[in-house]
Amino acid sequence: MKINNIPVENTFAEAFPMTATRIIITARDKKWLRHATDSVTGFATSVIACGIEAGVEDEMKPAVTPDGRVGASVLFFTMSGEKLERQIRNRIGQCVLTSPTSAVYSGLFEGKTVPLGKALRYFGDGYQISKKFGVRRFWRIPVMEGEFICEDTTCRISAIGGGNFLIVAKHVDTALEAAERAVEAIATVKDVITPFPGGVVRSGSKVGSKYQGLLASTNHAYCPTLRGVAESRLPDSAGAVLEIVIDGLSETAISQAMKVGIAAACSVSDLLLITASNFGGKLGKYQFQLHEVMQ
Amino acid sequence: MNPLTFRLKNKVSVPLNMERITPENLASLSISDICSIKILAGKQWVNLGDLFKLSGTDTSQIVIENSISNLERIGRNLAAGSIEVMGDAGNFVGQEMTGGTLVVHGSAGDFAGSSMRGGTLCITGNTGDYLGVELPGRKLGMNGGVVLVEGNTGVRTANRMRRGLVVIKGNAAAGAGADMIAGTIVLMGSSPVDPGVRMRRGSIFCANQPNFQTGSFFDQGTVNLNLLFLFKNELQRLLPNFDCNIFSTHKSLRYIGDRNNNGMGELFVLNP
Repeated sequence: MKINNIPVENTFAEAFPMTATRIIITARDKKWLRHATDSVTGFATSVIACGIEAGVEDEMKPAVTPDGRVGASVLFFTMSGEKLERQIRNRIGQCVLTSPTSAVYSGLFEGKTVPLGKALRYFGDGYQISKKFGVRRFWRIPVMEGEFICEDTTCRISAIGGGNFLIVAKHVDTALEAAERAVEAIATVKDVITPFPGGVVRSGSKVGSKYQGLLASTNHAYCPTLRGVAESRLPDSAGAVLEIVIDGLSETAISQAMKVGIAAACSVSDLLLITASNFGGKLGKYQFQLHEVMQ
Repeated sequence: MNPLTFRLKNKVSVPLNMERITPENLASLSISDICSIKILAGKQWVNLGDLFKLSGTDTSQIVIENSISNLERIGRNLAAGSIEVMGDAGNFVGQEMTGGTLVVHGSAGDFAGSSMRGGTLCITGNTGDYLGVELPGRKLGMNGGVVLVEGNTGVRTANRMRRGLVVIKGNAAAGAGADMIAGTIVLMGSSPVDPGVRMRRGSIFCANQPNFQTGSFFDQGTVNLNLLFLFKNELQRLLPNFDCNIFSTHKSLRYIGDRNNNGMGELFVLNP
């Protein structure tokens, strides 16, 4: 298969089950919203060492947020519900509660419950106020700037992590241009995030290592500098490979994100190859066949 | 299916106890069965069919036509479905409701929505005293549900309220929300007198500056809280026909009290 004359390898991206939640963060203006979202999604690129993967799914206009201010929906992915609860509590408590003018609301209303304000309300030291509107309970925690509003709970659902594709180019500039276009296109798809810096990974990993205890190590087959030293899957002229990793709430969402991402990447000429990272089924149960996704 | 309609044949001079007329009680009954239901008229039991002309078959929607203030306890223990009252309703309308919708196109007597726990009660006219209060011998007043009164209300409105929402578009008599424990009250009328006296928690939104006679509320000045906008959205959801524009602000005056009761209740003035 070729898109815009760029070959797409007949292979699959291997992804694995995760659990995920969505929260809505609002703030007085875009500047302070950005501070809150940057902070809460910081150090959340990969579950391998961060314990969580997070990213801004979408920006929200005041007309669609619960309190009529600018907002953003943020997705969080972990390997278990318990880890998700701990991470959410710590991240909201340290990164959003502390951020001036911010408020937090649930973005998912079906699934298993994840405490938000329910866990953070004790910061109010007895002065916190509960307000129940319909079935939704909000905690109003007094803070020095005024009041931090945080919904009692959100929900978590089964999700998928590790959808991916690789962009192979002669030069890093070309690969980066294609990756940026891909991430921009993926940003328009609902229910997905690209958790790595700028949505792009340069250090794709394989499962395991020659060193004991290391869960992941460099994906040597796609490292241009290791050609001739280790087994390589790269064309001869390849000089740089960048990976786009996609976490999503459903297979459909990840497929759609891969589709628009690959199409956008292929709008850059001079790419050598689009392929995907997989480990022969060792990593996860989901397989996204590139040729099927691009149909 | 047409709503099950009860049309009062003649005006009655004694109170009629209408508490058996709910969708739950009438479900699966035939018209003749319903006509033979006995209700208390004053001190006597009489057949419903002797007092009302019945039409329609849908027991989940009940309409009471020609209603007058002698029809008491309409919608008591209403759990689901709807009751529409064309005319006035007597005392105890919507008492201990847990769900459903009850609309009175007229005025209601005392104890409307008392000890209510859910559902929606709308009254287009005035109500008497003790709207949404606790029943005698109980600790808590309203413990859920929504009450909208488009006219005025009498004394002890939402006394000891614990949960839910009460909206009064007209004027409420002095002491609305007294001894409030939690919940939300909206007073759209002019200069309410001593709202929330002895309140412990809960929120009272006043469209206009209240007249505090006890001096036991602390004036916090102008505050900028997201709560107002959240509340506006909630009001729009619960009462789609209610004009919520007054809540389209994040700023208001806020009083906190009642300090005589070590209370942390809050009273917002939206249009000071």
